[in-house]
Amino acid sequence: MTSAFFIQLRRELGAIFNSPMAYVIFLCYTLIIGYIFYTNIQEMEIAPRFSAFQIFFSSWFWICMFVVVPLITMRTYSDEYKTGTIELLLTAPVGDWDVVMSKFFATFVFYITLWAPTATYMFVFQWVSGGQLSLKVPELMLCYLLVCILGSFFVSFGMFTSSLTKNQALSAFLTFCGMLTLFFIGLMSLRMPDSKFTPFIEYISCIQHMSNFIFGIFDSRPLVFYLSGTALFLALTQRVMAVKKLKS
Amino acid sequence: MIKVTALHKKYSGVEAVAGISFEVEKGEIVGFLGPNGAGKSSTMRMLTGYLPPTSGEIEIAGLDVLNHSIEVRKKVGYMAENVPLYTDMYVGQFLRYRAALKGVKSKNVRGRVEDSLEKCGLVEVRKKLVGNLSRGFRQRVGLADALVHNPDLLILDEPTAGLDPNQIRSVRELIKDLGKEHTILLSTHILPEVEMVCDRAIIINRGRIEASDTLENLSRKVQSGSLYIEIKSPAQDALEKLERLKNLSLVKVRTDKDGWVLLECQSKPGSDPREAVDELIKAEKWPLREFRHDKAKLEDVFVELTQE
Repeated sequence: MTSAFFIQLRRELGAIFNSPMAYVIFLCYTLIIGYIFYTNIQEMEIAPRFSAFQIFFSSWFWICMFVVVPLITMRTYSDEYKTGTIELLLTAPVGDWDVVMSKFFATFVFYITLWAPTATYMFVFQWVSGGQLSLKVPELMLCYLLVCILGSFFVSFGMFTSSLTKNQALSAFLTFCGMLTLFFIGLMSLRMPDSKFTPFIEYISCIQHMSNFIFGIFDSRPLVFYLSGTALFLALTQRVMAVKKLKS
Repeated sequence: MIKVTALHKKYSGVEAVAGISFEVEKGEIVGFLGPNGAGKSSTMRMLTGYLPPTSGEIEIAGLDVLNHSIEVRKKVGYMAENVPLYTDMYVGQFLRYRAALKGVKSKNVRGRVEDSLEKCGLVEVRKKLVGNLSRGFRQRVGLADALVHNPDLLILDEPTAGLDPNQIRSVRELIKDLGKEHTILLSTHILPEVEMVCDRAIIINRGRIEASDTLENLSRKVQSGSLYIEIKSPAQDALEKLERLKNLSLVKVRTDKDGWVLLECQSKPGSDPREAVDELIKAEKWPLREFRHDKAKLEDVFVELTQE
Protein backbone atom coordinates (compact mmCIF):
# COMPACT_ATOMS: atom_id res chain seq x y z
CA MET A 1 0.00 0.00 0.00
CA THR A 2 1.43 3.35 -1.01
CA SER A 3 0.94 6.64 0.76
CA ALA A 4 -1.30 7.68 -2.15
CA PHE A 5 -3.63 4.83 -1.12
CA PHE A 6 -4.01 6.15 2.43
CA ILE A 7 -4.50 9.74 1.24
CA GLN A 8 -7.11 8.58 -1.23
CA LEU A 9 -8.76 6.33 1.38
CA ARG A 10 -9.10 9.36 3.64
CA ARG A 11 -10.66 11.31 0.81
CA GLU A 12 -13.11 8.48 0.03
CA LEU A 13 -14.09 8.07 3.68
CA GLY A 14 -14.55 11.85 3.89
CA ALA A 15 -16.74 11.79 0.78
CA ILE A 16 -18.95 9.13 2.38
CA PHE A 17 -19.12 10.32 5.96
CA ASN A 18 -19.38 14.04 5.14
CA SER A 19 -22.41 13.45 3.00
CA PRO A 20 -25.87 13.74 4.56
CA MET A 21 -26.92 10.75 2.44
CA ALA A 22 -24.72 8.45 4.57
CA TYR A 23 -26.56 9.49 7.74
CA VAL A 24 -29.97 9.17 6.12
CA ILE A 25 -29.09 5.62 5.03
CA PHE A 26 -27.64 4.86 8.47
CA LEU A 27 -30.70 6.15 10.31
CA CYS A 28 -33.23 4.38 8.10
CA TYR A 29 -31.22 1.19 8.18
CA THR A 30 -30.88 1.17 11.96
CA LEU A 31 -34.60 1.86 12.44
CA ILE A 32 -35.65 -0.84 9.98
CA ILE A 33 -33.28 -3.47 11.36
CA GLY A 34 -34.23 -2.50 14.92
CA TYR A 35 -37.90 -3.04 14.10
CA ILE A 36 -37.21 -6.35 12.33
CA PHE A 37 -35.21 -7.54 15.31
CA TYR A 38 -38.05 -6.57 17.63
CA THR A 39 -40.50 -8.67 15.57
CA ASN A 40 -37.99 -11.55 15.54
CA ILE A 41 -37.87 -11.50 19.33
CA GLN A 42 -41.67 -11.67 19.36
CA GLU A 43 -41.39 -14.74 17.08
CA MET A 44 -39.07 -16.30 19.67
CA GLU A 45 -41.95 -16.23 22.15
CA ILE A 46 -44.02 -18.37 19.76
CA ALA A 47 -41.24 -20.69 18.55
CA PRO A 48 -38.33 -20.48 20.98
CA ARG A 49 -36.31 -23.10 19.05
CA PHE A 50 -34.33 -20.43 17.25
CA SER A 51 -32.57 -17.37 18.52
CA ALA A 52 -33.66 -13.96 17.17
CA PHE A 53 -30.47 -13.54 15.14
CA GLN A 54 -30.96 -16.95 13.54
CA ILE A 55 -34.44 -15.91 12.43
CA PHE A 56 -33.09 -12.58 11.19
CA PHE A 57 -30.15 -13.97 9.19
CA SER A 58 -32.27 -16.59 7.51
CA SER A 59 -34.97 -14.17 6.35
CA TRP A 60 -34.92 -10.36 6.54
CA PHE A 61 -31.17 -10.14 6.30
CA TRP A 62 -31.22 -10.72 2.55
CA ILE A 63 -33.70 -7.96 1.85
CA CYS A 64 -31.60 -5.51 3.88
CA MET A 65 -28.48 -6.65 2.02
CA PHE A 66 -30.07 -6.31 -1.43
CA VAL A 67 -31.22 -2.79 -0.68
CA VAL A 68 -28.16 -1.40 1.05
CA VAL A 69 -25.28 -2.67 -1.14
CA PRO A 70 -26.54 -1.09 -4.39
CA LEU A 71 -27.20 2.15 -2.49
CA ILE A 72 -23.71 2.44 -1.04
CA THR A 73 -21.77 1.29 -4.11
CA MET A 74 -23.64 3.02 -6.94
CA ARG A 75 -21.76 6.33 -6.73
CA THR A 76 -18.21 4.99 -6.29
CA TYR A 77 -17.27 5.27 -9.97
CA SER A 78 -20.43 6.46 -11.74
CA ASP A 79 -20.15 9.82 -10.03
CA GLU A 80 -16.46 10.20 -10.93
CA TYR A 81 -17.18 9.41 -14.58
CA LYS A 82 -20.23 11.64 -14.72
CA THR A 83 -18.52 14.70 -13.23
CA GLY A 84 -15.18 14.03 -14.95
CA THR A 85 -13.28 13.91 -11.65
CA ILE A 86 -11.81 10.54 -12.65
CA GLU A 87 -9.48 12.55 -14.91
CA LEU A 88 -8.54 14.77 -11.96
CA LEU A 89 -7.80 11.65 -9.94
CA LEU A 90 -5.86 9.69 -12.53
CA THR A 91 -3.66 12.58 -13.64
CA ALA A 92 -2.36 12.82 -10.07
CA PRO A 93 0.52 10.50 -9.18
CA VAL A 94 -1.74 7.72 -7.97
CA GLY A 95 -1.92 4.18 -9.38
CA ASP A 96 -5.10 2.54 -10.63
CA TRP A 97 -4.91 -0.03 -7.84
CA ASP A 98 -4.58 2.68 -5.18
CA VAL A 99 -7.84 4.12 -6.49
CA VAL A 100 -9.63 0.75 -6.66
CA MET A 101 -8.54 -0.36 -3.20
CA SER A 102 -9.21 2.98 -1.52
CA LYS A 103 -12.73 3.05 -2.92
CA PHE A 104 -13.28 -0.57 -1.93
CA PHE A 105 -12.07 -0.17 1.65
CA ALA A 106 -13.96 3.09 2.18
CA THR A 107 -17.22 1.53 0.96
CA PHE A 108 -16.56 -1.61 2.96
CA VAL A 109 -15.97 0.46 6.11
CA PHE A 110 -19.35 2.11 5.54
CA TYR A 111 -20.95 -1.28 4.99
CA ILE A 112 -19.48 -2.57 8.28
CA THR A 113 -20.60 0.63 10.03
CA LEU A 114 -24.15 -0.09 8.92
CA TRP A 115 -24.05 -3.65 10.28
CA ALA A 116 -22.00 -3.01 13.43
CA PRO A 117 -24.88 -1.82 15.69
CA THR A 118 -26.85 -5.01 14.94
CA ALA A 119 -24.07 -7.09 16.52
CA THR A 120 -24.92 -5.53 19.88
CA TYR A 121 -28.65 -6.32 19.68
CA MET A 122 -28.33 -9.86 21.04
CA PHE A 123 -26.18 -8.68 23.93
CA VAL A 124 -28.70 -5.96 24.74
CA PHE A 125 -31.51 -8.49 24.60
CA GLN A 126 -29.56 -10.85 26.87
CA TRP A 127 -29.08 -8.01 29.34
CA VAL A 128 -32.72 -6.85 29.20
CA SER A 129 -34.11 -10.38 29.56
CA GLY A 130 -31.86 -11.10 32.52
CA GLY A 131 -29.85 -13.82 30.72
CA GLN A 132 -32.74 -16.23 30.30
CA LEU A 133 -31.51 -17.53 26.93
CA SER A 134 -28.09 -18.80 25.95
CA LEU A 135 -26.36 -16.25 23.70
CA LYS A 136 -24.83 -18.68 21.14
CA VAL A 137 -21.78 -16.48 20.68
CA PRO A 138 -19.88 -18.78 18.24
CA GLU A 139 -22.88 -18.95 15.89
CA LEU A 140 -23.30 -15.20 16.14
CA MET A 141 -19.63 -14.66 15.32
CA LEU A 142 -19.84 -16.99 12.33
CA CYS A 143 -22.85 -15.06 11.04
CA TYR A 144 -20.92 -11.81 11.24
CA LEU A 145 -17.91 -13.41 9.56
CA LEU A 146 -20.19 -14.27 6.65
CA VAL A 147 -21.70 -10.77 6.74
CA CYS A 148 -18.17 -9.42 6.27
CA ILE A 149 -16.98 -11.69 3.47
CA LEU A 150 -20.34 -11.68 1.70
CA GLY A 151 -20.25 -7.88 2.02
CA SER A 152 -16.77 -7.64 0.51
CA PHE A 153 -17.97 -9.76 -2.43
CA PHE A 154 -21.14 -7.75 -3.04
CA VAL A 155 -19.38 -4.40 -2.51
CA SER A 156 -16.72 -5.33 -5.08
CA PHE A 157 -19.49 -6.40 -7.47
CA GLY A 158 -21.33 -3.12 -6.87
CA MET A 159 -18.12 -1.18 -7.56
CA PHE A 160 -17.67 -3.13 -10.77
CA THR A 161 -21.15 -2.25 -12.03
CA SER A 162 -20.57 1.36 -10.98
CA SER A 163 -17.38 1.44 -13.07
CA LEU A 164 -19.38 0.33 -16.12
CA THR A 165 -21.78 3.27 -16.27
CA LYS A 166 -22.11 6.99 -15.56
CA ASN A 167 -25.67 6.37 -14.45
CA GLN A 168 -25.91 5.70 -10.69
CA ALA A 169 -29.45 4.32 -10.91
CA LEU A 170 -28.43 1.86 -13.61
CA SER A 171 -25.44 0.77 -11.55
CA ALA A 172 -27.67 0.19 -8.50
CA PHE A 173 -30.14 -1.78 -10.63
CA LEU A 174 -27.37 -3.97 -12.11
CA THR A 175 -25.96 -4.67 -8.64
CA PHE A 176 -29.42 -5.52 -7.34
CA CYS A 177 -30.07 -7.89 -10.28
CA GLY A 178 -26.67 -9.58 -9.86
CA MET A 179 -27.21 -10.16 -6.15
CA LEU A 180 -30.74 -11.39 -6.72
CA THR A 181 -29.52 -13.82 -9.42
CA LEU A 182 -27.02 -15.35 -7.01
CA PHE A 183 -29.75 -15.57 -4.37
CA PHE A 184 -32.20 -17.34 -6.70
CA ILE A 185 -29.56 -19.76 -7.96
CA GLY A 186 -29.19 -20.70 -4.28
CA LEU A 187 -32.94 -21.21 -3.96
CA MET A 188 -32.80 -23.64 -6.91
CA SER A 189 -30.77 -26.08 -4.81
CA LEU A 190 -33.75 -26.30 -2.43
CA ARG A 191 -36.17 -26.80 -5.33
CA MET A 192 -34.26 -29.59 -7.07
CA PRO A 193 -32.15 -31.39 -4.47
CA ASP A 194 -31.28 -34.32 -6.77
CA SER A 195 -30.07 -32.46 -9.85
CA LYS A 196 -26.52 -33.08 -11.14
CA PHE A 197 -25.93 -29.32 -10.76
CA THR A 198 -26.88 -29.34 -7.09
CA PRO A 199 -23.32 -29.68 -5.71
CA PHE A 200 -22.19 -26.71 -7.80
CA ILE A 201 -25.28 -24.67 -6.91
CA GLU A 202 -24.76 -25.45 -3.23
CA TYR A 203 -21.16 -24.34 -3.54
CA ILE A 204 -22.15 -20.88 -4.76
CA SER A 205 -25.44 -20.63 -2.83
CA CYS A 206 -25.34 -17.76 -0.35
CA ILE A 207 -28.50 -19.07 1.36
CA GLN A 208 -26.81 -22.43 1.88
CA HIS A 209 -23.69 -20.75 3.29
CA MET A 210 -25.71 -18.68 5.71
CA SER A 211 -27.85 -21.59 6.88
CA ASN A 212 -24.66 -23.52 7.71
CA PHE A 213 -23.11 -20.60 9.54
CA ILE A 214 -26.16 -19.66 11.64
CA PHE A 215 -26.17 -23.15 13.11
CA GLY A 216 -22.48 -22.98 13.88
CA ILE A 217 -21.21 -25.15 10.99
CA PHE A 218 -18.00 -23.57 9.79
CA ASP A 219 -17.16 -24.23 6.18
CA SER A 220 -14.03 -22.72 4.63
CA ARG A 221 -15.31 -23.04 1.04
CA PRO A 222 -17.54 -19.93 1.16
CA LEU A 223 -14.55 -17.96 2.43
CA VAL A 224 -12.51 -19.01 -0.60
CA PHE A 225 -15.46 -18.41 -2.94
CA TYR A 226 -16.31 -14.90 -1.70
CA LEU A 227 -12.74 -13.70 -1.23
CA SER A 228 -11.66 -14.91 -4.66
CA GLY A 229 -14.87 -13.40 -6.09
CA THR A 230 -13.96 -10.10 -4.42
CA ALA A 231 -10.48 -10.22 -5.96
CA LEU A 232 -12.00 -11.02 -9.36
CA PHE A 233 -14.42 -8.08 -9.34
CA LEU A 234 -11.76 -5.67 -8.05
CA ALA A 235 -9.47 -6.81 -10.88
CA LEU A 236 -12.31 -6.40 -13.38
CA THR A 237 -12.98 -2.90 -12.02
CA GLN A 238 -9.33 -1.99 -12.57
CA ARG A 239 -9.54 -3.37 -16.12
CA VAL A 240 -12.69 -1.32 -16.82
CA MET A 241 -10.83 1.79 -15.61
CA ALA A 242 -7.94 1.01 -17.95
CA VAL A 243 -10.24 0.35 -20.91
CA LYS A 244 -12.25 3.51 -20.25
CA LYS A 245 -9.03 5.51 -20.24
CA LEU A 246 -8.25 4.16 -23.69
CA LYS A 247 -11.60 5.39 -24.96
CA SER A 248 -11.76 8.71 -23.11
CA MET B 1 10.94 19.77 -21.14
CA ILE B 2 8.52 18.03 -23.53
CA LYS B 3 9.62 15.85 -26.41
CA VAL B 4 6.91 14.22 -28.48
CA THR B 5 7.86 11.85 -31.30
CA ALA B 6 5.48 10.40 -33.91
CA LEU B 7 2.51 10.38 -31.56
CA HIS B 8 -0.60 8.56 -32.77
CA LYS B 9 -3.97 8.09 -31.14
CA LYS B 10 -6.81 6.14 -32.69
CA TYR B 11 -10.34 5.83 -31.36
CA SER B 12 -12.17 2.88 -32.91
CA GLY B 13 -10.29 3.25 -36.17
CA VAL B 14 -10.54 7.06 -36.34
CA GLU B 15 -7.20 8.82 -36.06
CA ALA B 16 -7.52 11.69 -33.57
CA VAL B 17 -3.78 12.36 -33.45
CA ALA B 18 -1.89 11.45 -36.58
CA GLY B 19 1.83 11.16 -35.88
CA ILE B 20 2.70 14.53 -34.40
CA SER B 21 6.17 15.48 -33.17
CA PHE B 22 7.15 18.61 -31.29
CA GLU B 23 9.33 19.89 -28.48
CA VAL B 24 8.84 22.45 -25.77
CA GLU B 25 11.89 23.93 -24.09
CA LYS B 26 12.14 24.71 -20.41
CA GLY B 27 10.70 28.11 -19.51
CA GLU B 28 8.63 28.50 -22.67
CA ILE B 29 4.93 29.36 -22.79
CA VAL B 30 3.59 27.51 -25.79
CA GLY B 31 0.11 27.83 -27.20
CA PHE B 32 -1.46 24.68 -28.55
CA LEU B 33 -3.91 25.91 -31.11
CA GLY B 34 -6.52 24.21 -33.15
CA PRO B 35 -10.19 24.14 -34.01
CA ASN B 36 -12.58 22.02 -31.94
CA GLY B 37 -11.89 18.33 -32.44
CA ALA B 38 -8.37 18.91 -33.80
CA GLY B 39 -6.77 16.56 -31.27
CA LYS B 40 -5.64 19.10 -28.65
CA SER B 41 -7.25 17.50 -25.63
CA SER B 42 -6.23 13.98 -26.69
CA THR B 43 -2.61 15.13 -27.01
CA MET B 44 -2.70 16.85 -23.63
CA ARG B 45 -4.22 13.80 -21.97
CA MET B 46 -1.48 11.67 -23.46
CA LEU B 47 1.14 14.11 -22.15
CA THR B 48 -0.21 13.72 -18.62
CA GLY B 49 -0.15 9.93 -18.85
CA TYR B 50 -3.94 9.71 -18.50
CA LEU B 51 -4.50 8.48 -22.03
CA PRO B 52 -2.15 5.84 -23.44
CA PRO B 53 -1.06 6.62 -27.03
CA THR B 54 -1.67 4.12 -29.83
CA SER B 55 1.97 4.59 -30.82
CA GLY B 56 4.75 7.11 -30.46
CA GLU B 57 6.89 8.41 -27.64
CA ILE B 58 6.47 11.16 -25.10
CA GLU B 59 9.26 12.32 -22.85
CA ILE B 60 8.72 14.83 -20.08
CA ALA B 61 11.77 16.15 -18.25
CA GLY B 62 13.71 13.26 -19.78
CA LEU B 63 11.27 10.59 -18.50
CA ASP B 64 9.16 8.38 -20.71
CA VAL B 65 5.51 9.00 -19.88
CA LEU B 66 4.41 5.38 -20.26
CA ASN B 67 7.25 3.77 -18.32
CA HIS B 68 7.54 6.42 -15.60
CA SER B 69 3.94 7.52 -15.44
CA ILE B 70 3.82 8.25 -11.70
CA GLU B 71 7.12 10.21 -11.68
CA VAL B 72 5.97 12.21 -14.71
CA ARG B 73 2.66 13.06 -13.05
CA LYS B 74 4.60 14.47 -10.10
CA LYS B 75 6.35 16.86 -12.48
CA VAL B 76 3.22 17.93 -14.34
CA GLY B 77 0.41 20.18 -13.20
CA TYR B 78 -2.65 19.52 -15.34
CA MET B 79 -5.83 21.48 -15.59
CA ALA B 80 -8.40 19.55 -17.58
CA GLU B 81 -11.00 21.06 -19.89
CA ASN B 82 -14.22 21.84 -17.95
CA VAL B 83 -12.17 21.78 -14.70
CA PRO B 84 -13.58 18.76 -12.87
CA LEU B 85 -13.36 19.26 -9.09
CA TYR B 86 -14.70 17.58 -5.96
CA THR B 87 -17.60 19.87 -5.18
CA ASP B 88 -18.17 18.43 -1.70
CA MET B 89 -14.82 19.74 -0.41
CA TYR B 90 -13.78 23.14 0.88
CA VAL B 91 -11.24 25.01 -1.25
CA GLY B 92 -8.43 24.80 1.33
CA GLN B 93 -9.26 21.21 2.20
CA PHE B 94 -9.31 20.25 -1.49
CA LEU B 95 -5.89 21.80 -2.11
CA ARG B 96 -4.39 20.15 0.98
CA TYR B 97 -5.68 16.78 -0.22
CA ARG B 98 -4.34 17.34 -3.73
CA ALA B 99 -0.95 18.51 -2.46
CA ALA B 100 -0.60 15.39 -0.31
CA LEU B 101 -1.76 13.14 -3.15
CA LYS B 102 0.78 14.73 -5.47
CA GLY B 103 3.58 13.86 -3.10
CA VAL B 104 4.19 17.17 -1.30
CA LYS B 105 5.81 16.34 2.04
CA SER B 106 3.44 16.87 4.96
CA LYS B 107 5.62 19.61 6.48
CA ASN B 108 5.44 21.55 3.19
CA VAL B 109 1.76 21.04 2.42
CA ARG B 110 0.60 24.11 4.29
CA GLY B 111 3.15 26.38 2.65
CA ARG B 112 2.40 25.10 -0.84
CA VAL B 113 -1.35 25.45 -0.34
CA GLU B 114 -0.95 29.01 0.97
CA ASP B 115 1.26 29.88 -1.98
CA SER B 116 -1.16 28.57 -4.59
CA LEU B 117 -4.15 30.15 -2.81
CA GLU B 118 -2.38 33.47 -2.90
CA LYS B 119 -1.17 33.20 -6.50
CA CYS B 120 -4.64 32.31 -7.74
CA GLY B 121 -6.47 34.89 -5.62
CA LEU B 122 -8.37 32.31 -3.61
CA VAL B 123 -7.50 33.39 -0.06
CA GLU B 124 -10.95 34.89 0.52
CA VAL B 125 -12.80 31.75 -0.60
CA ARG B 126 -10.59 29.14 1.06
CA LYS B 127 -13.33 28.18 3.51
CA LYS B 128 -16.06 27.95 0.88
CA LEU B 129 -17.34 24.74 -0.64
CA VAL B 130 -16.00 24.21 -4.16
CA GLY B 131 -19.55 23.44 -5.29
CA ASN B 132 -20.71 26.91 -4.20
CA LEU B 133 -18.09 28.82 -6.19
CA SER B 134 -18.70 30.73 -9.41
CA ARG B 135 -17.26 29.43 -12.67
CA GLY B 136 -14.38 31.92 -12.52
CA PHE B 137 -13.35 30.84 -9.04
CA ARG B 138 -13.62 27.18 -9.96
CA GLN B 139 -11.27 27.84 -12.84
CA ARG B 140 -8.87 29.40 -10.36
CA VAL B 141 -9.18 26.40 -8.05
CA GLY B 142 -8.30 24.22 -11.05
CA LEU B 143 -5.21 26.34 -11.66
CA ALA B 144 -4.28 26.29 -7.96
CA ASP B 145 -4.60 22.51 -8.06
CA ALA B 146 -2.35 22.32 -11.11
CA LEU B 147 0.42 24.27 -9.41
CA VAL B 148 0.01 23.19 -5.78
CA HIS B 149 2.93 20.74 -5.99
CA ASN B 150 5.10 23.31 -7.74
CA PRO B 151 5.49 21.28 -10.96
CA ASP B 152 8.07 22.03 -13.62
CA LEU B 153 5.44 21.87 -16.32
CA LEU B 154 1.89 23.18 -16.43
CA ILE B 155 -0.50 21.73 -19.00
CA LEU B 156 -3.64 23.81 -19.23
CA ASP B 157 -6.50 22.66 -21.42
CA GLU B 158 -8.60 25.67 -22.44
CA PRO B 159 -8.10 27.49 -19.14
CA THR B 160 -10.36 30.42 -20.00
CA ALA B 161 -13.26 28.54 -21.57
CA GLY B 162 -16.63 29.68 -20.28
CA LEU B 163 -15.37 32.75 -18.40
CA ASP B 164 -16.62 36.31 -18.68
CA PRO B 165 -14.24 38.94 -20.18
CA ASN B 166 -13.04 40.17 -16.77
CA GLN B 167 -12.36 36.65 -15.58
CA ILE B 168 -10.59 35.83 -18.85
CA ARG B 169 -8.35 38.83 -18.39
CA SER B 170 -7.42 37.92 -14.84
CA VAL B 171 -6.76 34.26 -15.67
CA ARG B 172 -4.54 35.32 -18.59
CA GLU B 173 -2.59 37.66 -16.33
CA LEU B 174 -2.20 34.82 -13.88
CA ILE B 175 -0.91 32.45 -16.58
CA LYS B 176 1.53 35.07 -17.79
CA ASP B 177 2.75 35.46 -14.25
CA LEU B 178 3.10 31.71 -13.78
CA GLY B 179 5.16 31.57 -16.97
CA LYS B 180 8.00 33.27 -15.10
CA GLU B 181 8.51 30.14 -12.99
CA HIS B 182 7.00 27.29 -14.98
CA THR B 183 7.04 25.86 -18.48
CA ILE B 184 3.49 26.12 -19.79
CA LEU B 185 1.68 24.34 -22.57
CA LEU B 186 -1.68 25.95 -23.10
CA SER B 187 -4.40 24.71 -25.37
CA THR B 188 -7.02 27.03 -26.73
CA HIS B 189 -8.98 27.99 -29.77
CA ILE B 190 -9.16 31.61 -28.61
CA LEU B 191 -6.46 33.28 -30.66
CA PRO B 192 -5.94 36.56 -28.79
CA GLU B 193 -5.13 34.41 -25.78
CA VAL B 194 -2.09 32.97 -27.54
CA GLU B 195 -1.07 36.38 -28.84
CA MET B 196 -1.22 37.84 -25.35
CA VAL B 197 0.31 35.04 -23.38
CA CYS B 198 2.49 32.73 -25.47
CA ASP B 199 6.02 32.85 -26.89
CA ARG B 200 5.30 30.24 -29.48
CA ALA B 201 2.33 28.48 -31.05
CA ILE B 202 1.78 25.00 -32.34
CA ILE B 203 -1.15 24.85 -34.72
CA ILE B 204 -2.83 21.47 -34.95
CA ASN B 205 -5.60 20.45 -37.31
CA ARG B 206 -7.16 17.03 -37.89
CA GLY B 207 -4.54 15.47 -35.68
CA ARG B 208 -1.60 16.93 -37.60
CA ILE B 209 0.72 19.81 -36.82
CA GLU B 210 0.22 22.47 -39.46
CA ALA B 211 2.76 24.92 -38.06
CA SER B 212 5.01 25.38 -35.07
CA ASP B 213 6.90 28.62 -34.65
CA THR B 214 7.08 31.95 -32.85
CA LEU B 215 4.03 34.10 -33.42
CA GLU B 216 6.03 36.57 -35.52
CA ASN B 217 7.43 33.89 -37.81
CA LEU B 218 4.03 32.29 -38.17
CA SER B 219 2.54 35.58 -39.32
CA ARG B 220 5.36 36.07 -41.75
CA LYS B 221 4.98 32.60 -43.22
CA VAL B 222 1.43 33.13 -44.23
CA GLN B 223 1.31 36.75 -45.37
CA SER B 224 2.97 39.89 -44.19
CA GLY B 225 -0.27 41.78 -43.84
CA SER B 226 -2.60 44.24 -45.44
CA LEU B 227 -1.72 47.66 -46.83
CA TYR B 228 -4.33 50.42 -46.93
CA ILE B 229 -3.58 53.37 -49.22
CA GLU B 230 -5.91 56.31 -49.82
CA ILE B 231 -4.82 58.48 -52.71
CA LYS B 232 -6.34 60.97 -55.12
CA SER B 233 -5.98 59.51 -58.55
CA PRO B 234 -8.05 57.93 -61.30
CA ALA B 235 -8.82 54.47 -59.89
CA GLN B 236 -7.96 52.56 -63.05
CA ASP B 237 -4.56 54.25 -63.37
CA ALA B 238 -3.67 53.59 -59.72
CA LEU B 239 -4.77 50.02 -60.02
CA GLU B 240 -2.67 49.27 -63.05
CA LYS B 241 0.45 50.85 -61.61
CA LEU B 242 0.15 49.18 -58.23
CA GLU B 243 -0.48 45.81 -59.79
CA ARG B 244 2.81 46.07 -61.61
CA LEU B 245 4.62 46.06 -58.26
CA LYS B 246 6.01 42.73 -57.12
CA ASN B 247 4.64 40.90 -54.09
CA LEU B 248 1.42 42.82 -54.03
CA SER B 249 -2.11 41.92 -54.93
CA LEU B 250 -5.10 44.20 -54.78
CA VAL B 251 -8.03 43.02 -52.77
CA LYS B 252 -10.49 45.89 -52.66
CA VAL B 253 -10.88 49.28 -54.32
CA ARG B 254 -13.32 51.93 -53.15
CA THR B 255 -13.75 55.30 -54.78
CA ASP B 256 -15.57 58.19 -53.13
CA LYS B 257 -17.20 61.13 -54.89
CA ASP B 258 -14.35 63.56 -54.12
CA GLY B 259 -11.97 61.44 -56.20
CA TRP B 260 -10.21 59.71 -53.34
CA VAL B 261 -9.46 56.03 -53.92
CA LEU B 262 -9.01 53.60 -51.03
CA LEU B 263 -6.97 50.57 -52.06
CA GLU B 264 -6.57 47.51 -49.88
CA CYS B 265 -3.58 45.44 -50.91
CA GLN B 266 -2.33 42.11 -49.66
CA SER B 267 1.36 41.41 -49.58
CA LYS B 268 2.83 37.99 -50.30
CA PRO B 269 4.31 35.84 -47.49
CA GLY B 270 7.73 37.01 -46.40
CA SER B 271 7.62 40.28 -48.36
CA ASP B 272 7.26 43.91 -47.36
CA PRO B 273 6.15 46.08 -50.30
CA ARG B 274 5.80 49.33 -48.31
CA GLU B 275 8.96 50.97 -49.68
CA ALA B 276 8.06 50.20 -53.28
CA VAL B 277 4.54 51.56 -52.81
CA ASP B 278 5.90 54.70 -51.15
CA GLU B 279 8.29 55.30 -54.06
CA LEU B 280 5.48 54.82 -56.58
CA ILE B 281 3.23 57.32 -54.78
CA LYS B 282 6.07 59.86 -54.70
CA ALA B 283 6.93 59.30 -58.35
CA GLU B 284 3.30 59.65 -59.44
CA LYS B 285 2.80 62.60 -57.07
CA TRP B 286 -0.50 61.18 -55.90
CA PRO B 287 -1.96 63.14 -53.00
CA LEU B 288 -1.93 60.76 -50.04
CA ARG B 289 -4.47 60.73 -47.19
CA GLU B 290 -3.82 57.35 -45.57
CA PHE B 291 -0.99 54.84 -45.62
CA ARG B 292 -1.51 52.04 -43.15
CA HIS B 293 0.05 48.61 -42.78
CA ASP B 294 -1.66 45.96 -40.65
CA LYS B 295 0.44 42.97 -39.74
CA ALA B 296 -1.15 39.59 -40.30
CA LYS B 297 -2.94 38.44 -37.18
CA LEU B 298 -2.65 34.98 -35.77
CA GLU B 299 -6.28 34.63 -36.68
CA ASP B 300 -5.38 34.93 -40.37
CA VAL B 301 -2.66 32.34 -39.95
CA PHE B 302 -5.05 30.07 -38.11
CA VAL B 303 -7.79 30.37 -40.70
CA GLU B 304 -5.39 29.81 -43.57
CA LEU B 305 -3.88 26.70 -41.98
CA THR B 306 -6.97 25.09 -40.60
CA GLN B 307 -9.80 25.91 -42.97
CA GLU B 308 -11.38 23.08 -44.94
